[in-house]
Order: sequence, then structure tokens, then C-alpha cells
Amino acid sequence: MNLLRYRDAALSLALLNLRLRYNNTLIGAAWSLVNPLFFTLIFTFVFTVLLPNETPDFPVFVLSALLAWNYFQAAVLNAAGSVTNGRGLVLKIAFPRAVLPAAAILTELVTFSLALGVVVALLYLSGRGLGAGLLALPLLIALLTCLASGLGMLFAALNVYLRDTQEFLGVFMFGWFFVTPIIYSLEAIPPERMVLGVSARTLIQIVNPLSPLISAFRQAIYERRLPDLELLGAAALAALFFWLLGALIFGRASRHFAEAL
Amino acid sequence: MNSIEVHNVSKTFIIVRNRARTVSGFFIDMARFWRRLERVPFTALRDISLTVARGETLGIIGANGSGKSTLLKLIAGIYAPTSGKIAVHGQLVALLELGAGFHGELSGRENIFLNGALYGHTRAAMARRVPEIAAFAEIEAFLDTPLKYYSSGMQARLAFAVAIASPAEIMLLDEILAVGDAAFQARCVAKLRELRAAGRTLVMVSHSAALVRELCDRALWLDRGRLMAEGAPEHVIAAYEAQALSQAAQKTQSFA
Repeated sequence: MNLLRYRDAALSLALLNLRLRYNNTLIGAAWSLVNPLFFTLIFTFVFTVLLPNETPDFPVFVLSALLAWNYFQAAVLNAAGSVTNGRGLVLKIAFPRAVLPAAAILTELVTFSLALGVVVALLYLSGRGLGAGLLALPLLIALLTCLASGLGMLFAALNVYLRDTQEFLGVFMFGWFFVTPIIYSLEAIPPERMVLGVSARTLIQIVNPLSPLISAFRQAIYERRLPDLELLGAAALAALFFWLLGALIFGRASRHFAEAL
Repeated sequence: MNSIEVHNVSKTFIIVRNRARTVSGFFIDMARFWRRLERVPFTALRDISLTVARGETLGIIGANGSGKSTLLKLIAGIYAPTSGKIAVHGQLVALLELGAGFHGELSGRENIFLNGALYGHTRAAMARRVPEIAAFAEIEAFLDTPLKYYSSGMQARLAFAVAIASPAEIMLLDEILAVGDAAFQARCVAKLRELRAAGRTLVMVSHSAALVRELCDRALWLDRGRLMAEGAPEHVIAAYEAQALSQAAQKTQSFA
């Protein structure tokens, strides 16, 4: 594939992104870890002090899903803006346009991997460890990257024609956060709770393509076990579907990016 | 054997603009759910056909806005033609703007890698060319200095050196020779002559009649999206200059 010849372009752009992001900061790349830790602190305060609940080790419970969500959100948002932000390059250089979202995803993958690495190390230092869950992480990261790339490409193409996309995504992501089992687990939703005539649990599991993956991350990191096979199956299906959809639409639209920008 | 084949290519752009012409109209449009947009077609190129043989150097001349750059962008694949077909045989690199993809925060060396990568060359391949590029641009001492501290002349020289270091057999050059001082320009022309002698296929847009006369095997004159003349540079340039002169004369008369 042509894109393979341009892998160094995605890599160089990702390195540039990282450098620009942390150039004039005091703690640099540590922000990728400090940010989720702050959020974990906030959620822990809310859900153990203000609204107490029974979940043991609540910080680990939240962090195990929050890290993955942060990566997903940042990857999709940055990929969505990558083509419009890369206008100068698109107009003047004839490289495969997929390099732009790929570089955006890669940038987030690097910071996510750093943060996850530190969190996993801390879990081992605390004597908690990950057990068999550790083995599942590479696969889960790959699936999440796949899903984020697909949606990222889809929104990036849409954003070229409708700049409303980026504005809309900000709000959309906020809502998506709450319909994904991050600060709660699916099991915590009362089984009799119905939304639109369907059980709320089933709805989130079926309609939200991110839900199985986030649950799988929690099973691996928090429950320290290999994720359920049906979760992995659903996650893989969602990732593959959205990747194909995104790649197809992006590929079709990318021929006309230069004149639309 | 042809490197580039362009068959009956036309390119029409749709120019979208707000219909509001008054300030109050602008605010009314802002308040509407759907803004009133006017879509005006603009044909930049009409029914262009041409071929470029392997190893040939073709010069494209014409006034501003005649479609020269659009033609290069179509051949490069940056734009898709509205109608017609374009075939390119061989690896092609389009150098449309020097320093496109350069970033001030990166060092000269890192910019060489990034720029090369965007043109499809791997880091390893560029690493081999760094000494040659730095020598041509005369920036050896500043290779690891961030680009933002370079003088504009140094930036331009580096941009040209990176661009021209591409091993692609087909090169599209859009007015990229207007950089640097006289001495550097002379070296650029010498470099182009060297590439030509090495059998590269070159398509260059230039406003310099002297350059086209000197470097090109064949020339092509575009005027408002139409192919006006094609053939020996001497004849095509003469026809172009004759028209430019008569138009200038008419304009001067209308002022009188």
C-alpha cells in the first residue's frame, strides 16, 4: 500500500506534534499522566465522599477506564481536525491524506502509552499487579486505536465540508463520556431500568461501540483478568466496522480535499 | 515512451460565497439556520491535452491566473480533474511551493526528514542525502539549529536543496527558481541543467522567458485556461510576448 511509503511522514508529524505540545511546559510529557490522575482524584472525591458507593479501590476502578477514554477522546478529536489544520500541506504536497489523521492518532498513542506504562508500573509497585489482564492490554490498545482511527477519519472528512463537525464533537464527546461505563459499571445500572423501551444496560452495550472496549479495559486492569470473550468479540467487530467505514469515506473524499479547503 | 499524458482535461472550481452584500444582510444571514450561499462555477482549465516524453523538459508560460499552477496540481494529483484523464508513468514529485511543510521549531536536519517524508522518502533515504543537501544550501554549520533562527535566504536555500534532492524521475517545478541571491540562482539553474542531462523529466512553470528558452525542449502557453500555443520555446515565447505587448498597448490607450 502507498501509505507504507509515507509511514515516516506520519511519524515525523507525530514527533512535531509532541514537541509543540510540550515545548514550553514545565513538566512536559508528565501532563499526559497528571491529567487523568487529577480527574481520578475528582471522581473519587465525588463518588466516595459526596455520593458514597460500595466499589472497592474506586480510584483504580475509575482510572482503568478513564485512561482508555482519554486516549480515545483525544485521538478522535485531534484526528477530526487534522485535515483542516493541515491545509497548508494538503494544498501544496501530494502525499496520501491519511497521513494526517494517522499522525494525530500516533501522537495520542504515544502519550497514552506513557501514561498507561506508569499506571501499570505503579499498580505493580503497590503489590496489586495486573495478573492475566496484562496479556490482554496490547490487543485492547490495538482495538481502541483501530476504532479511534475509523471515527477520526470519518469526522476528519466531514470536517472539511462542514466545520460544524468539530464544534459538534466537543458536545458530543461530553455526552458520550456519560453513556460509556467509565465512572460506573454496566452492572451498577438497575436491570429493570428501561430507556426507549429497552433495558438501559443492553442499550449502552449495543448502541455504544466504545462500551465493550472500555469494559474490557476495566476487566484487564481493575479485575486483573482476561476480558470476557464476548466483550472482545463485540469490541473487535465495532473497531473493524468503524475502521472500514472511516477508511472508505476518507479515501473517497480525500481526492477532493485540496479544492474544498 | 511518455512520462505524463493529459487527455482533454478540464477543471471547474465551485466558488462558494455569502450572498449578503450589506452589513445588515450579513447579520440576517448569520441568524438564519441555513446561510444563503451562492455557488459560482469557475473554469480554470478547458480541454487541455498534452504529453511529456520521458527525459523531456517542458516549460509552461502564461499570465497570472492562466491556469499554470492548476495544471501542475492536477498532474500531481492534488486536484482531481472535472473531466478528462491524466496518466503519470514513473515516480513523480511536485515542488509547488518551497518550504511547504517546513516548521520553525524543528532544526534544519529535522526539517529535511519531515519534508522528505512528506514527499514519500524514508528517513533512512534522507539521512544519506543530508550532507549533500546541507552543502548545496550552505548551512552545514546550522544543521541542528531550529529553522526559526535561519535568515530567509538560508531557509529558501535549504528548501530548494531539499526539493531538488528528490530522486523522483519526474519533477514538477512551480516557479521555484526565484529564490536566493544571484550566485545561488546561478547554481540552481546549473543544478536543473544537471538533472536534465541525467535524463529526468521536468515540467516547469516560469515567468522567466530567458529560463524557459535556456532550459526547455518545448514550451506551452496557457491563457485563461486554454492552450494557446505549443512547440519550440522560441516560437511560443514570441507569440506570448506579442499578445502581452498588444494588450498592454490597448490598456495604455484606454487610459489616454
